Amino acid sequence: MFANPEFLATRLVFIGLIVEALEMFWLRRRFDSSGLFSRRTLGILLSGAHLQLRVISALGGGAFVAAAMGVQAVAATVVILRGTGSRAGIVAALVCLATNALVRARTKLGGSGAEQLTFMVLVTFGLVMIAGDTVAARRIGDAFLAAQVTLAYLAAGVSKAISPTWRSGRALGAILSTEGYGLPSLGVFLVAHPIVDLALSWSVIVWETAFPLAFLAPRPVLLGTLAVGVLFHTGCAIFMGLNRFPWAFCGCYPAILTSWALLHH
Amino acid sequence: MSLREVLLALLLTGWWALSALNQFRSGAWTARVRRHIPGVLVPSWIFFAPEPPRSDSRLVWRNEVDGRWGEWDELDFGFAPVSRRWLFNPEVIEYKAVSGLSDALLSLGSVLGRRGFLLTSSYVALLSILVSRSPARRSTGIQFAVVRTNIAPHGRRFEVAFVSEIHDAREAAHVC
Repeated sequence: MFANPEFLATRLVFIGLIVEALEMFWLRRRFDSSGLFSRRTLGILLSGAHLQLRVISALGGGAFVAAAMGVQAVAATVVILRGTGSRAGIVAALVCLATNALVRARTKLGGSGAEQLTFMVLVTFGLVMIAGDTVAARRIGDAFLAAQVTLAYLAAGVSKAISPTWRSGRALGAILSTEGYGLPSLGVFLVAHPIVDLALSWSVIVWETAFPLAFLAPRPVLLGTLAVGVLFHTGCAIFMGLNRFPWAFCGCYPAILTSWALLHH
Repeated sequence: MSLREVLLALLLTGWWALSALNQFRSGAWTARVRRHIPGVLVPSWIFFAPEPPRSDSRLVWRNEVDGRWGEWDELDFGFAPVSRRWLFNPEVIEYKAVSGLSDALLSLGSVLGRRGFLLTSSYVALLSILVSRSPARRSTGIQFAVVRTNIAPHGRRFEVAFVSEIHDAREAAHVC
């Protein structure tokens, strides 16, 4: 990811940042005084937080957030075009770090794992720059992101494996029966065909919990594992509306490839 | 390796270790750390498990205007159409914001008891959001509720999960 900035896949995370910018621009009125993300609401939620967080969270209403997201969209586009190996790309990525930090502090609600991972990617990039932007620093950054993604899949898989609902194949039908995350018609289908739910549930459990083993496997197995990941996140986007996960998680797959190569050479 | 690279490796190793501990909710220790480090940097990667969501948490409220209670209204931002939500889905952010606050209120309510929830940040935040949507000068009372819905095989189901106290809308506007 950082170690091989010439690969186009390393720029997927920044496509996700453009999507976020567009979504936050769409929601800009929610940051005004009567909106869902108003400073008043945030002040209530952050009443016990450190002063710095409260100060950042008080910055700007809808117009300010819209402007910040405009800057983020432009900066992310620069990174996509120039990569993080160029000076322009580096500066643009650091601008994305600043704008993303702002929107993280300013929003507080409605976040997801995709935003967590995206912000961690940007912070890690900033730390790599502070460490001197050497080849070794970039590889260390990649190794960290690979370890985080692996931890994410393993934790998710274990939490499903210990769940009677997931093990018995009743989870996906339940999730897809909700309007927020689901496709009710598909939910009804899975409830009516529990064997399909069971097969899908165990596929996800096995893939997630076995993910760390891909680092020990030959390259074709690793590539197959990552291909399943692309399908998994694309399916979650289509069937559950989790649209930012493909960009965030698949965007870190180059870091996994780099780390695998280091382990095997 | 240079000193800066070594420090980077140590820092990222510590960050990963903290992340790993947080997956298992190591109680007081990680809670203390999370107070000093922004929560977004200490991730939780467990989604939809062990218990998957089975219903949507919907927020409804009503106002008292000129001495009469109006109909229950819903704080509804809508859902993105399936044709575009795989790519562009701002509605899910709003949905998660409201359901996150509602779910936090429900889980705290069961722990804090009958009136203990009144001072929780989720209760006050929800009240604040709804007060700002109420007809400002004319509203004298406000009450909200959390309703759980899902599309079951035999049709839509509703369950009232929580009903707030009745608040003076003018006082709530000042306090919230």
